[in-house]
Amino acid sequence: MQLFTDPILNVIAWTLIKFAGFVLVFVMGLATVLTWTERKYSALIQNRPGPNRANIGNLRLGGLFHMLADPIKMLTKEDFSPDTPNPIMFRLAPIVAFIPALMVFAVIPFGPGDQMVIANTELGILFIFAISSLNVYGAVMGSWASNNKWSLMGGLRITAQMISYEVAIGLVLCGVFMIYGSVDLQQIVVAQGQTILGFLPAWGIFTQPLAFILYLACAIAENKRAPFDTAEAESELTAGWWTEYSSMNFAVLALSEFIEIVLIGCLGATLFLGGWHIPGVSGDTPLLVALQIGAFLLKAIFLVWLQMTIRWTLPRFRYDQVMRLGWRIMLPAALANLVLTGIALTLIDRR
Amino acid sequence: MPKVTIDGREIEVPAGTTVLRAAKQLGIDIPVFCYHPGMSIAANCRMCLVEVEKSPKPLPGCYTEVADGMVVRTQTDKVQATQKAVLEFILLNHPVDCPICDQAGECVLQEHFVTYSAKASRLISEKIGKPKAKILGPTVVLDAERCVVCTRCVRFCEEISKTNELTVEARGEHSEITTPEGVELDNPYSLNVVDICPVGALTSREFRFQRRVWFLDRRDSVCTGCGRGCSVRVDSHNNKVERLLPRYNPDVNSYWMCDAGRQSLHSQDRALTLGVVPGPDGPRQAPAADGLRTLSSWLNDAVHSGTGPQIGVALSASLTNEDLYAWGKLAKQLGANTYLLRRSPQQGDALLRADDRDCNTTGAQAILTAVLGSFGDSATLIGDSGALDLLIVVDNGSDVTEELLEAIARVPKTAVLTDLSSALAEAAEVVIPATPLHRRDGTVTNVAGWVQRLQQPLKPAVTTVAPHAAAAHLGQTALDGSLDFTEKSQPAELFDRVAAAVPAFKFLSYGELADLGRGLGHGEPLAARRPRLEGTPQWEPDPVAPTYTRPFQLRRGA
Amino acid sequence: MAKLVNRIQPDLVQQSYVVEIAKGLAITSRAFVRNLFGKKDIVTVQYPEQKVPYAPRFRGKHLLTKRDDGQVRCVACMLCATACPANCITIVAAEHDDRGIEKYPTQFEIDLLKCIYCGFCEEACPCDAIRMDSGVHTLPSYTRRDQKTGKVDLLALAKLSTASQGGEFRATDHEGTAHGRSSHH
Repeated sequence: MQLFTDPILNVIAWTLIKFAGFVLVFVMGLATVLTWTERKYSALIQNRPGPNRANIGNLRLGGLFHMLADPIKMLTKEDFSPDTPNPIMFRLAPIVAFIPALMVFAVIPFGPGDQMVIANTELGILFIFAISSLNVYGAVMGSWASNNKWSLMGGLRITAQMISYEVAIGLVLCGVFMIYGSVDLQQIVVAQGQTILGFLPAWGIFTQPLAFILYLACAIAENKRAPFDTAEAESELTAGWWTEYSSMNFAVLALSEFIEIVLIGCLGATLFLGGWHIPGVSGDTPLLVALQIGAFLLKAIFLVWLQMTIRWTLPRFRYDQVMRLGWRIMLPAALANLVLTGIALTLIDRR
Repeated sequence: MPKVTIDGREIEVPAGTTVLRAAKQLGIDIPVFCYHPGMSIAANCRMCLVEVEKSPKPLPGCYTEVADGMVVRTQTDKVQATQKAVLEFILLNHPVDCPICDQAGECVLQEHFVTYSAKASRLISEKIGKPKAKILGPTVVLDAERCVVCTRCVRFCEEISKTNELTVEARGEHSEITTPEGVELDNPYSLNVVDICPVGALTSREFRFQRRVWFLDRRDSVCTGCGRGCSVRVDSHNNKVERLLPRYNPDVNSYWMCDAGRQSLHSQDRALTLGVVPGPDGPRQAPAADGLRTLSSWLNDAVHSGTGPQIGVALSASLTNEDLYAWGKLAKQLGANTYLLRRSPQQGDALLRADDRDCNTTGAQAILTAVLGSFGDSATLIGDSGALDLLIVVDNGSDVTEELLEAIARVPKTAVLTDLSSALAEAAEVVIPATPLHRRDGTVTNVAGWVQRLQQPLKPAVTTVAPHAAAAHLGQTALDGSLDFTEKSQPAELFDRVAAAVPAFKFLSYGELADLGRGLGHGEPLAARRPRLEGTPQWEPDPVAPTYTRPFQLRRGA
Repeated sequence: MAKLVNRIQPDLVQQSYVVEIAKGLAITSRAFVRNLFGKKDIVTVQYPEQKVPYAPRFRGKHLLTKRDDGQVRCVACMLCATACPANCITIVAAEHDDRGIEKYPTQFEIDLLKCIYCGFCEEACPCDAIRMDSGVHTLPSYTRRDQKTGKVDLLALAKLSTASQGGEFRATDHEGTAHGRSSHH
């Protein structure tokens, strides 16, 4: 569809529209809702009422307005900065943590066709790896610049943990690329439209079940959330590298964590749950495309829910356990998965 | 000498000794109310009744003199029953308002009741009401209901102050201490009746309700209100003096102390903690260190300038021996004119109050004579003032006359080291806050040449400096350390130098001055020293420690 | 003797955690669904709309009781300040015009930040003058100074005490006699 005669303007306009629709409305919207949902959900799991006080007039809606109240509170709080020799780094850290989390959505296909992705590049998953590993710099900068021992210890833990699990997650996903023969996410999703054994959709979760479990664990660890939240372990480190952050700086940090939850959901849906595919349905009518976009979003939301439930079910690992799990279980398991996939593919090819 | 057996133990005491004192020497406590070792014996409270063999009735231990072969028992059932009965009798009409009674905590009746009776009252009729909070005079207030009519106060006014203001009125349970019509209890020793009152009947109007006594921190010290230097107990709270009480010292003040001496604690309200130094923006408030820096730069200029400006050092006679020695040495090294400032004399009396209002004139004169040879007084200072270029006054509440202020105004540079704000301090260019006497250790010599230690000082303010330390500091900074003591020198070390340098102080050592002090030897060795000095009131030497105030338990520190 | 605890030896399936985590997820999800739709297990008391009643012996903010004529009962004996382990009571006493009362507090200050609510002051008081049965436990303030509660504030919560002052325990005391105190005499 042409919005402008100039092709470049046209591309820019469409990119902005897709960005607005996918990232601003869905991702940011979901992340915002999650800030409240997480508290309410955990409360109900634990036999508590949860946040229920925010209201407009007599309207409470079970505390739904906390979503509004929180940003207002954050915006009006004192923007505290510790006595640090690196004030610029301190301010920069939340931004550095926030931007990569948003950037990776550029390559995630949310619908069928080349146009249903913000930036249609062949780099695909490599782009995601490249950008999301920038995330750790935010943590390093923030923890160092906070000039606080809790922050520093949290930062050290994050750095080690993120780098460790990045290795594992990379090897895990290699298995997926081997199966579908591409690193382009749209191609991977298209390839998942086939069926195996005649009835089972060729989704990653069926072709690479071990990889799915490993992916989920590693991704949660990457995101520093329970049971891997050793970096901001409240009981030991106050709030880890977030300790000194307040006001909107803190809000940005919290939001970037929720955005990453959505990212893990979207990426997981793309790689393992068939992306926008609805099993047994094909075609390209606009209604179907809309339904397929909806299916993708639902799959992403399902994975978000799964992450939250895991968080409120499992207790925290000790830091040494996290590292041991990363290097001694996750990494060998990912390698084994890789080797097994390779053997299986070779056998299938030879037949 | 008669030999007596008390509670199965034998002791030989001089004839005329009472049973109570003989028992005390054996370490046996016989409870008393009316007996006071400093006064005549009334034997009216009957608390000290003891059983004496071959006597049909118990005898009062305070009055009964020992006889050879006497056998006394103080712990028998009969004695205990007697004590219980006496206490019940005394407490019959007592209001038992200990919570609001100021004596609570140091009350003999409270102590005796708990120790010897602890019996509930059997009185069924109304208690007899008597005047409460009756003002006897400017210093003392009486609660007649609490009174046990021991007549200690009456005897004090008869025998010690010899003013006869108090008397007992009516008879039996209606007996009541009172003053005759138109007479007030206003003698200069009136507050002693509060000390000797075993109960809360007589209380000090000033100290009344100010502080519960168990909050007080007790320290032994010396009164610096006049030349007598009575031994005192300083009761403080939160590092602030709350009251002064006499401490038994047979060579100085016996059990007594004058009212004016007790008032001397009010000087702490005028205590300086910050001095004044000149600054680029005019005079500013400053701690002692800043003032000393300015003064030492003045002295440096004076010492190292070729013309040799004339320095004057004026010393108060109310400084300690150590201060005077240190300043005398410094003045000698500086080649300064030295003046001894003395307060104008008061009208003393034969009991305790000395004519001299300075607490250390005797010591000051002896030390300055030995160290400097000659020195002037305030009159010579006024005469010399025109010729002086720099004057340092080490003050401790000297009298400030118009002439003195004018004389100081004539001196181009003046520095005052003082612990009290005064007109003298206001006239000076540099004011250095000094540590007051009750906040530092040292020795003073009274009018009769009795040397005592201040002993247990309160905590000083960090911004103040002890005069002897100030002298040492100036010696180190302005005289390149040519003095034989340093800022770190403690009073003990300085006193050793005093003893070495001043003939009158020879053979004295700092350690033996604790508690009761020693007389000046005037060059004689210790053994040859007279036990009591001329000019000291002649008190009966008392072989037993005073029993009238029991030490209360300190619950916590100040 | 130490109690021996049987350690569970997990089998391979358990060691993989996958099944066990799934079981855990089922438990939390069940709790969530039950609390969202079905029978609610939530026991939270919605303070301040709802309040749990205090026990009768609850020690709250202190109060000073009054005499029949409305004057403060306290005679400034400082026994509460003496008994106080936190050293939080400051009393300044003065002579009362009424010779029968004699002594009363001109200042009676409790530093509620220092107070540990042990109740020793109540126990020590010979006059039933200080009590902690106000039932007040919310003591917020904006400054530390505001936590130093003075006499006026303490009297604002005051109750009338008719216990016999400094006297014997009498069974005919008002308020069920609980506040009469016996003394030596």
